Amino acid sequence: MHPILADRKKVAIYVAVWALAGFLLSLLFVPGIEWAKALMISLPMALVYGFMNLASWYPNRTLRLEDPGFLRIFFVNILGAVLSSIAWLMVGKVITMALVYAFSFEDLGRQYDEHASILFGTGILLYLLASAVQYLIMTFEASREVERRAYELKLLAQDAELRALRAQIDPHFLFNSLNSISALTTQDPSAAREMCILLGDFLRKSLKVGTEEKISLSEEIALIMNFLAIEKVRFGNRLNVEMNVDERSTSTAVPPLLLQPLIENAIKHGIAQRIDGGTIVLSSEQNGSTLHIKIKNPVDADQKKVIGNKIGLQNVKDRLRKLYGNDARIDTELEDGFFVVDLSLPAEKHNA
Amino acid sequence: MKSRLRAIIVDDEELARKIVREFLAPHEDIEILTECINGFEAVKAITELKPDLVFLDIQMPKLNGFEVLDLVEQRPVVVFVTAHDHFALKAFEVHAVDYLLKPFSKERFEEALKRAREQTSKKYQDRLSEVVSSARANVKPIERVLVREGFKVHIIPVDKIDYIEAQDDYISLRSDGKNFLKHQTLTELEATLEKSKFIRIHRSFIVNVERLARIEPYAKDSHIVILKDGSKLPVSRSKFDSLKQLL
Repeated sequence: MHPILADRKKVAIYVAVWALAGFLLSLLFVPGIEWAKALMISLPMALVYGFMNLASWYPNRTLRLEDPGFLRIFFVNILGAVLSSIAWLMVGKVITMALVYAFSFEDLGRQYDEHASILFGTGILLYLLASAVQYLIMTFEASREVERRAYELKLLAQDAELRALRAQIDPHFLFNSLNSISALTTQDPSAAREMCILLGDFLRKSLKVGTEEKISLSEEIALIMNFLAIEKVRFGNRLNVEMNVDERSTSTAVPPLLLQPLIENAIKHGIAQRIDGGTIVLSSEQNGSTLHIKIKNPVDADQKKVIGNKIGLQNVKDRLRKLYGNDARIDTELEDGFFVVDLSLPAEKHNA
Repeated sequence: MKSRLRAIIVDDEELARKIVREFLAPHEDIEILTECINGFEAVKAITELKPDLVFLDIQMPKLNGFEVLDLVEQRPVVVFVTAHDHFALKAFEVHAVDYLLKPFSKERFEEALKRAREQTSKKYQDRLSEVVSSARANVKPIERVLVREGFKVHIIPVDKIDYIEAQDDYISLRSDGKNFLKHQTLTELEATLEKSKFIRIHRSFIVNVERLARIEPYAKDSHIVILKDGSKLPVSRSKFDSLKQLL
């Protein structure tokens, strides 16, 4: 839909502007034609031309200003202007003939023809003017669109931050860890102290990296190891971890707490649901300019799909899309009793 | 003199079991029969040993605490132990069933134990049943049906069910050529099944829509459905129209 026709108010303004143009156009005729008669021709001509010029929106929309082909825009508009102006002259002639017929204005036909060349020029100018205004509107709307999108991104970022914060301190994790400490105080006091220190370290690290835009993969992995050490106290032999981290990939920059929610899911929906637990495998490698990260965990055989909340996974997806657009991918699959998350993102060097 | 209380501790985390054991130690009249590390073991132990008291964790592998209770006929007095579960806490509050939040103090534990000792009435069993059925109703639509056979628990995915037949207070689930008996009403189960996948065709029958082959007239004014495996089930007159629309 044409942006002007889409809004009644805009149509009214547009018609008013062209009516004014018609009024001014009548002055062009005045040397040869009486003003009242001139107005009878020029006013309908201007209004018709106004609507004819709306059509130029469609070629203009496909020839955006930011495209390099300025010459093409120029020629298309000149061609459009010439054709429109010729068509417009014919419209004017038809209106004139109608007036001649209706009011028997004897000389009007001849007088109109005398003004044909000046009308043709005016038609071209008016077309180009209307086209220019359309380009202005398009530019304005494009910049408003950019503004709106930036605002949306900002909202999304705030939301993701909030969810990341919530994900990093999962109440289950916290309360169960505290319960473990409570049990250890009598069973094994030094292990209880160890657990307090691990928990303290983990909370401090998450709060710290939460404020940073990017951290190195090695920092993220350190945070994960810390988290896993705490969970290991809870799950004992049920939780095993295997790390296949390529040395070269560790200095790559990643958004903080990107992997932590995925590891948390691997425990919550994988290990914790299995009687014998299992091994979580975290692998990373840098392949050219891409960083690949893979997290694999066994799931319970009775579990047909990964149940429970997928907030962690969705959060990671949203953050990746926001930060890297189409340059990052996240794929998940459930195969042979294993849930696998595959991440690939641009390998940017982290400047520590 | 108080009678001895026979207790079971159910939790998948070793340290969590240890703390309950530690808090129970001074109570000489309480005998800990066994510890269970998952829902399967708990169902087996409760059915086999018939304890008076169970300390029951809610989040566990395979079967959660509510599913465990759902599967045992003779329910013991239960002290629920949980870290955090918004839904469960609400159900406990509503039905006035006590629970312990991890981590808990010795005082709070004693209080729960004292209350548990007082719970013997029929009323307590009713409140417990309410909690279990509200937990059951909370999961909708269900993806699997749990059936106990002796000490064994069968997990039947709903899409493996052909049809379900009501038999007095029980339902009989037909799956993979076998029948599984469960203590539940047909209406209760119907409420938890996905409406687009299961249809009630008769007062006593619910059928898996995917198993339907055709519908045939039977006697005057009555019909039967034929399933893909050849089974024939009766169709109520009132259900006939909705069934016909489906086919």
